[in-house]
Amino acid sequence: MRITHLKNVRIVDGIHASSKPTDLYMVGPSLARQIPDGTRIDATYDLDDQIAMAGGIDIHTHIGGGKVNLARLMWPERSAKQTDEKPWLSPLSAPVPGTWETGQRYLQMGYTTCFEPAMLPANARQSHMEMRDTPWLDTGGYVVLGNDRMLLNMIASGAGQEAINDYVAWMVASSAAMAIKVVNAGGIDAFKFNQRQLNVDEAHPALPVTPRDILWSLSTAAEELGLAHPLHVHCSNLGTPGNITSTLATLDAVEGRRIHLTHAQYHCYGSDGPHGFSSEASILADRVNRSNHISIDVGQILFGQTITLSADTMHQFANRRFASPRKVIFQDLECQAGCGLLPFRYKESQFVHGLQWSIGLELFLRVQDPTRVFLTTDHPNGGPFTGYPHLIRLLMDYDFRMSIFDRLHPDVKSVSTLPNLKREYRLDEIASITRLGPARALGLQNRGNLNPGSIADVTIYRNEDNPEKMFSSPAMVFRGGELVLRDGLILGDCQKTVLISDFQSRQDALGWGARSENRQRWQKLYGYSPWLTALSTDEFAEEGLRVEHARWHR
Amino acid sequence: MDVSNQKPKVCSFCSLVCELPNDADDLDATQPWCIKRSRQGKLVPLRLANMARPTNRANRTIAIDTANTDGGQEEPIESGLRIAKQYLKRASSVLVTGRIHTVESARGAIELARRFDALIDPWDSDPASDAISAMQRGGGYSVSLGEARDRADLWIVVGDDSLLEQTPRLPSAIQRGESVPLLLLGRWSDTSIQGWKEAGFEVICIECELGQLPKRLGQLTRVGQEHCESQVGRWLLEAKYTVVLYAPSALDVDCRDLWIEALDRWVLQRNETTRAVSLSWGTLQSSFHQTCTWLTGFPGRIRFQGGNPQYDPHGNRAKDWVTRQSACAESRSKSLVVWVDDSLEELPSELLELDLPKLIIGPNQGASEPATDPATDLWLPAGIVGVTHTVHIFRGDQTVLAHVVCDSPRGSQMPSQWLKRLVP
Repeated sequence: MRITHLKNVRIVDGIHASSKPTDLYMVGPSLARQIPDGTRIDATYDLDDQIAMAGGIDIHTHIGGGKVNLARLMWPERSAKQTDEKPWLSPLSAPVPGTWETGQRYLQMGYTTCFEPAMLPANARQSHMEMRDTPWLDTGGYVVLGNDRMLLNMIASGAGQEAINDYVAWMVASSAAMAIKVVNAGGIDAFKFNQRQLNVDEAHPALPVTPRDILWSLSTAAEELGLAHPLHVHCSNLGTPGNITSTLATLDAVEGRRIHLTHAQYHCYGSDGPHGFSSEASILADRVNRSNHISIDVGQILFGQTITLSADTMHQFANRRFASPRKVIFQDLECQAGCGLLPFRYKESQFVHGLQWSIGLELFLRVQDPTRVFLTTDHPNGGPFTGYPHLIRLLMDYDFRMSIFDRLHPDVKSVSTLPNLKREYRLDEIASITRLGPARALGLQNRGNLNPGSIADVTIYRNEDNPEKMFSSPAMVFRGGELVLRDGLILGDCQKTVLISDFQSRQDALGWGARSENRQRWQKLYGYSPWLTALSTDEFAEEGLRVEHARWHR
Repeated sequence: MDVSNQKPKVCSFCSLVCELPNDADDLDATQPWCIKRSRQGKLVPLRLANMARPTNRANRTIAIDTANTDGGQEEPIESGLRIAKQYLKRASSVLVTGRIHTVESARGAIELARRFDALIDPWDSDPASDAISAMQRGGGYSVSLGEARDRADLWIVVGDDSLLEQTPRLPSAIQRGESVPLLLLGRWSDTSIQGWKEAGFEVICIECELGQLPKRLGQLTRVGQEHCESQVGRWLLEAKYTVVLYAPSALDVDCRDLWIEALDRWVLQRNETTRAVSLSWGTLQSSFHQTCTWLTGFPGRIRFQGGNPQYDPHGNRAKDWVTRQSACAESRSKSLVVWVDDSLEELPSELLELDLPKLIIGPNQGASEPATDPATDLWLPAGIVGVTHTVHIFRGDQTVLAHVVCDSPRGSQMPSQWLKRLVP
């Protein structure tokens, strides 16, 4: 077994606060703090007080599946700003690049594990295929439920929680998912019936079901099944002024069960002020600070051109007039969800965009526990993931933050409380929001930290005064104990792993699809058997992938 | 739970990727299947079933009985590979084209093109390319098959008989078991109209030139609002979820991309007040376009330069490349067409007539064998998609990716296996 010695390295992982350099070993694919005397060491790197963090984990990034591929397709233009000298510092070639570029650029920032947050059950195989073709990253996906007509019918007919749990278990298992994602609960399906808005306690136009019912049922299923990650929620009323009300109602709907609120920045808006649009980040942050069962990822916006893509067709369609350039793509998909794509340019000079930028940072700075707020841009929605080093600098450097704040629309400066938030993130807090916190929220005990026995995914950063420079270009990245990147240059390939949630009844879950009454219902709704789209773990083995199960540690 | 026992058999011969009955001998005689069981017991596409099989094999075709490679006959494969590698080494300009229907073949073809800085574009890519161009310019509002089947209260089906020739079971696949209005526009034979009716639709067929259709639909919608005395007017007025179904490969119109763009505009406009969607039905080639898009960021029509893909939907068309290369004597000898074929159809005559070296990777069973030029062509025989090897194929709406499992692999080389071994 290959043994690598990282000598004189400073460990920063959110758990260990080593103030002086220490030793870290990689024994095969695992980490160790010490090895028996006399053990043969294959490679030693004297790192001279450089910083070791676990491989980065992106808990919410759109990297695979039908709508991601549509976004690639809709944007054939390529960025002209590529530089040959250090291409890993260039902008992405497109807002949503191909899989190879995605894997490469994540690795070049020191990230090793990413999660696609919106896999349609019918399209899960494609999502996993794309992620399989995204090199250097271990991957997983969340299956989108809550607008699937079969679930809505079950809730409407009073099928009972046990039956719902069985169905949800089948959907998670047959999609090889890590978690359940709900997007605008019931709203996507309501839009298929031409309803243009759906509040948390409003009934679906064709069924006696409210978003609250759906959220309650799904959060209960996630809890009772024991899924590794809590219900991953994209709230109702995405991006709508005043949506803090429905966001708080969403948090209430789960009645104290675990919940992860995604791209929270888009869900904490008020409707005050000269433009009828204001920040309610403090209300949401306060709620998170008081509730240990809630975690969030921010979905920070970064100024520039991107493509927004979401399963939330209802709100993407409502925003179609903001598309820049003017083209939009929408889809209604397989009685399960939909998708909407709009090219979008965030501008410093635009009041709403400036305030959105400020709201995201407010959330980061107001939530006290860095293991419950995670760094995301909801790539590509808020901006490309390659903007993370810039975002880290915004969090670590107050003066830098203010230098950009000063360039925003004058009305942002008059309403935002951002200047009052003097907090500057420390390195260990950065490790928490990019590694430790996401790993804990996902039930991945052996990732996101540098504990002995954890996976030897390690990123070595140079000590730099400028955090943006530091996090843009790690000195080294190890995957499973193998050096795969040095000074921006990729040295080799690595074994890829697909991450799947384990749960108590996983072995039995697939039995749902074999029962004749379920097969008949499925066949009637979809026109094919449940097994046409169901994935088996054998398929991952055929593709050369390793499978790892994540568990909820209660 | 043993999942492998539950996996359905899936037909890989048309883009509906239908599940087959458990016993293929029991194919429902009342349903139009696009396959049938041959006398030898093989499943073959219906449209090829009666095709005569020529017996002459070209001299330079490497004839390998891939079914017996385990029995110590590896040499022919190695010799085929050696010659193929020489072809690739000799060529200064390579086109990778063909009928690439699986994710596996697409991956292999793209990797080969990347390594040889080749141009890659499927042979009959105009319909898909036009649909993609229209979408890239204006977008649209589309729908998947299952959603349309469940929600549609008015179908508008545009095209002609060729839609049903390509996908005979389409009418029954979109029928949810109740009578739904269906407006057939274009040129449809009585047999086709009857087929739609027998599937359970309430059909009105209006024979019309399709060129002006998007404009006419706009007019019809307005007329429907003002004069709802006609049946069609009433249907349009009352519809709450209209689905416009067409296949770019079965659209006989000039400027197909502009036509699709105009139709998509009508669909988007209709969503201002009600719900309407389009179902653009793709061919088996969708698997190539999808895979190419996620691997490279582009749907095809790319030329690799230094390993980087350069997209040019007009300049990188396969058929234009062969015209250009054929026109110049100097280019001809240094060119190579790599033809990757996942279909069982005959090689197109325009390919066979080309005066360019060709490396053909495709099946050698169940269809006529290519009458290749013995002086310049090399043929590496492959198995049959979904019959001799397991593959992934997209359904025509590009939402469902089917895992087409082969129960009894017979040891034949998949195109993707040849391609992988050709990459240096």
